[in-house]
Amino acid sequence: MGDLGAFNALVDLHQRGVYNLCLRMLGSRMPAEDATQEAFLSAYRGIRSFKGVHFRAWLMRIAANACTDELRRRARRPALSLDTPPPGTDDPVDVPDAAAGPEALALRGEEHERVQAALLRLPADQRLAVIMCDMQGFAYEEIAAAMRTSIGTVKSRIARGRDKLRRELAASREHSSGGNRP
Amino acid sequence: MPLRDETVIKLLAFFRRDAHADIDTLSAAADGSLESGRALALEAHLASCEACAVRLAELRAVRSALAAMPAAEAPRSFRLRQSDVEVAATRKADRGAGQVLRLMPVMSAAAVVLFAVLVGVDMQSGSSGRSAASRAVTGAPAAERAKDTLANAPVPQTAAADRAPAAPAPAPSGGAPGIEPVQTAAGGTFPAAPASGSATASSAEAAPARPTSAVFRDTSTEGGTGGDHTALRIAEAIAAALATGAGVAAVFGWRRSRGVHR
Repeated sequence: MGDLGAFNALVDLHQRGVYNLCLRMLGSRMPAEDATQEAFLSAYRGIRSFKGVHFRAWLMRIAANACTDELRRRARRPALSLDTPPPGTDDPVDVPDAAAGPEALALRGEEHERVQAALLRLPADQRLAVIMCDMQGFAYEEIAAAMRTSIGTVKSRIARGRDKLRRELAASREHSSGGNRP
Repeated sequence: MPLRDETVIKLLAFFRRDAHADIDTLSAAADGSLESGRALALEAHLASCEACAVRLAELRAVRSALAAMPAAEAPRSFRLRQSDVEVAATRKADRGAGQVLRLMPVMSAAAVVLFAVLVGVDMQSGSSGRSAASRAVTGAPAAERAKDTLANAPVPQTAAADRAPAAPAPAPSGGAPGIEPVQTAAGGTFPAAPASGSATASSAEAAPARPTSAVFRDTSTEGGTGGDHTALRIAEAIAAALATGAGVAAVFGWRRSRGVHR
């Protein structure tokens, strides 16, 4: 089917961005893969309804909806908590970085885990806005298109999200340095 | 530009009044989207407010930490295959079937009740006249209750029934001891009737629910059997449609349990 071939060219172009959005929204790989696949399926079905100018933002909106569905599914199954991935059972989102030594790598991995855990404690709308703005480099206008809201609301969500992250990270650093004290 | 200077001065005054900079201002400053006038005012405020300066520095650190999070490679290709698209379509159809399936018990129950009423009506019409029976059908399940009441009602009730129209709009629940059998029957068969107020209307509507002797008299004098037959046909059609619906739902359920759809 020609349609499918053309669509798959778009998948190739955007799959990394969509997968990373889902990964940061959900905090673990398997659900992120499922949400990514679901997002592309939904996008394929709804491609004719896309009439805007921000295709990438439209795709991210669909991905965010797929993540919301996944979060709802998790909320229905209390064994998998909405906010914190169960320790040990879940694969941590640790992306390898070949350019660093083992110690630096471990430290950096710890920091990444802290940031990811703090992200997961944000309300979903703030999390989405912060991820799109500060991790994926979307402009306010694109985020507003993706979230179907005003730029003012987007700015406000980002501000609240960043502030909550600031407090969370300060608290978790304090906690870990306090724990290391003799 | 005097106007702009004035704005800056106002903002400076606002910040100097010791109100801390709000989070929207600090967040905008952290990513450089704060407009120049407000940026100047904030700068002036930060010079004298350490708390806000620290908060801004921390917000900048948060941004750096987020930007430093590495982007993962896609673990596999998410290209869609023809089968993915087809499975998605089937799943959608299946969801529709699921909704039909959920209605199955309701449809079955409704079909059974309606058939039972129709059978009862046919039997009754065999002994006591077609049109009276057909009328009872228009009240559907409530008519059953009404018939029960009437079957247990004592014979002198007929007189009471004749008196009933003169009484002003009886309550549907029917509690008054004097004429209660008729009131209950009328209320049970046509719950809306008593509230409608008009005594003549309620008497006309109460008629089908009267004891058999009264019904005989009514039907022989009133006629109007054509409409009653139509009601019977409609009830039969509804029962048949419900039964068909329940059957279709059962087939869907059977196919699903056999794993026809994934």
